[in-house]
Amino acid sequence: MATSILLRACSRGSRSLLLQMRPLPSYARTDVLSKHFTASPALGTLEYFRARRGPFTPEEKRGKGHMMMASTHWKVERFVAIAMVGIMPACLFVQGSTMDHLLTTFVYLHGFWGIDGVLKDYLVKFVPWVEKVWYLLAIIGFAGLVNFNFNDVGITKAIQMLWSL
Amino acid sequence: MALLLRSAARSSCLLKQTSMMVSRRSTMATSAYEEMSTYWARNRKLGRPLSPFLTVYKPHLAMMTSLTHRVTGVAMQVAITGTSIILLCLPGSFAENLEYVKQLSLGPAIIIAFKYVLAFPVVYHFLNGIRHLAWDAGYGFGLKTLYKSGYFVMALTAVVTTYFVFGIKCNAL
Repeated sequence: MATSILLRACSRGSRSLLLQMRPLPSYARTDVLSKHFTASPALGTLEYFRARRGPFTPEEKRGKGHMMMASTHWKVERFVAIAMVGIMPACLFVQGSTMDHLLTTFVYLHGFWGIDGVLKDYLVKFVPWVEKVWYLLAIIGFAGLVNFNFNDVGITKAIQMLWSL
Repeated sequence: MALLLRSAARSSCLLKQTSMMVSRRSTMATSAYEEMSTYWARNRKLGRPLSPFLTVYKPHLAMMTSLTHRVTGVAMQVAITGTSIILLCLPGSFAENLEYVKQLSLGPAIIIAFKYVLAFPVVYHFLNGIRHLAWDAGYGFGLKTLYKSGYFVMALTAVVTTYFVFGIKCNAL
């Protein structure tokens, strides 16, 4: 009777201790899933990408040196997107230099933030400086488009010419 | 008597349990950052396999529409930036270069395929973008509505893209 009481008292998780049935600690276990998961060659290459998956310090997550709060920036992005919902059909009917400038500004800004988001999702954890590269490339691209609008035919005219092929 | 036995057993078992816990946790530091660091370092050292994540999913509409949205967006922005930089580098104006392309006398199939390749991302991304904005406003998250709007966007994209390719005729300006 005493043994049964003893067993019952120790049954909260430590009965295995009493019966000396301790499982090996998890980092020393060798039975299941100790082989590399190489069922397909594609997954084998994932091992090459030793991404810095974490942990990220709070400073890294907050981001240093930003002009506005992330939520405000998100609102600006939605404003540009909603403006584009109006601009894109309008450019089918109205062409000219004003539409050129409108299209350039809004479409390019929207695309810049889009690629920025994609980079932040996938690449920045491997290559922290890739956002700066995209910033530089985007500036050059924008300069090219503005030059095209002023010194060449302009985007709406160019698309019309292209479509006439 | 039984109470004494019980308390002795419980305390000894607890001691054994805590001692086991202490010996296992003695390498961990206090902050969560450091605990996660040691977790990742140890698992990397042991060469542990990753849990399957991408391959375990059966593709469904929401995933495919979202992926297409992202892919078309990235493709368009890369194309726009690339075209802009290439146009900066090309000698001659846009009209001259277009004349050069016209002289290549590409077959109509190629030109139509090219127009499809240009028009499809724009139309799809625009229509799915409206779907995204509806979600941002809080509408359309229910699964049935999601699927209906997804199929609607796909159908409308097909119609509008075909209209853009075949229906819009620009005179040679």
